[in-house]
Amino acid sequence: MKYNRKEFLKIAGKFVLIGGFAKILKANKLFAAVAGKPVNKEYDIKSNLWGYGIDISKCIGCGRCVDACKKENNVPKEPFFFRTWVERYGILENGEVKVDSPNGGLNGFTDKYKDEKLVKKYFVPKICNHCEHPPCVQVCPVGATYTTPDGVTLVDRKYCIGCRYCIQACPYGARYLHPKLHVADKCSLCYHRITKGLLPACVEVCPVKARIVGNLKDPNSEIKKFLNANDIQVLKPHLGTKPKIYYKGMDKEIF
Amino acid sequence: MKYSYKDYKHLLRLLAIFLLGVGVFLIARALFTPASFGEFGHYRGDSLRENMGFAAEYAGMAACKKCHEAVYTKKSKSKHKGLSCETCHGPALRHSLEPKKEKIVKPGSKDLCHLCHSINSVRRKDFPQVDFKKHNPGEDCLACHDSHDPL
Repeated sequence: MKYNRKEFLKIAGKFVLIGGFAKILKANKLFAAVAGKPVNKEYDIKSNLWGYGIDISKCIGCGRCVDACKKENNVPKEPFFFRTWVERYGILENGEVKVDSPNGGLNGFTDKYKDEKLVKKYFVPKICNHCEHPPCVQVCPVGATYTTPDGVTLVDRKYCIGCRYCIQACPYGARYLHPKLHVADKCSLCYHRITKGLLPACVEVCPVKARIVGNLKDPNSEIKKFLNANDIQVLKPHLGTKPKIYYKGMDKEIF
Repeated sequence: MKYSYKDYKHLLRLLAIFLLGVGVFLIARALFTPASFGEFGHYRGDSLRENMGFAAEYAGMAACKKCHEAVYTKKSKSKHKGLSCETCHGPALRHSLEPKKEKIVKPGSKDLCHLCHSINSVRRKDFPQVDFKKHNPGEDCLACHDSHDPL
């Protein structure tokens, strides 16, 4: 035998260490080279922070946003898969709160409460709240969901194992398991659109401009003007998730 | 008391095994971690790019205006000025790229008008609403109303 055990271990150890360090150095160099660079030439990820406003007092419950979202993002047509949906609230004289969302509002709403006396009523559009502290990201066992530097919570479809933990964790019910892809799916604020200067599909089609999107880092953006001009509330603020979906005209009955 | 090599020989062996373990871990980590991992945060940077690269369906109103300027101008002076073309006509990105090949379907009034304008007690009062059961039932809305310039 050429080497005894001790000599072999010594040599092998050296190789392993040198190889390992070289690989780490290479990875670090790679990291340094790409960090801070924009993802595509026109879009600067660092100067953007996406925020989204919903004006409840404007929404008429036509459901065009739900329809557009499904068409834009290939959301299954079945009535329990939604990236966005519209809820109808009706508050009766005795204080009873009635909430429903037939097919997410996709086909509009029938005049269900025409014989009831409602003291308050409104349509409330809902989407992923793109939280600053997202519970879904925290619970994902494989790191397949994350918040981008520009403040959007996304899903890595290649890493997602479809365990549904995030769906359970989301306090807003914003996620579902895609029946064909078998991965968690949710509103991405149309990330493929906003990074190219287009509006999210729901914002594009809203006929009453009840949905507003914009860059929170830009003081002249639509969303900043919306936040400055109105009284704003977020959904379930007591949870500390710090949503970036801001509601105008939010009543205490809305949850 | 003086220690000889024989006394700490076993510890050196242990140290070698430990270092080997560290080495194996570092190499395994470098091999199995995707190159773009950690680029923006504790996730695959490529995933962000994949999300950016998804195909769009909606073109946005600016794309429609390029060819359909007349109807765009007409609409932008009407009560429907706030509406995007695609609110009624549906996704049109493919049509805007290949206008001759990809046609968009002309929407029928029966499918669309009532979604916004039917009477609904939950709908806000200041929004124009029509009782479709009393106001010329069965008629095509477009027979009297121009959707690009209503009323």
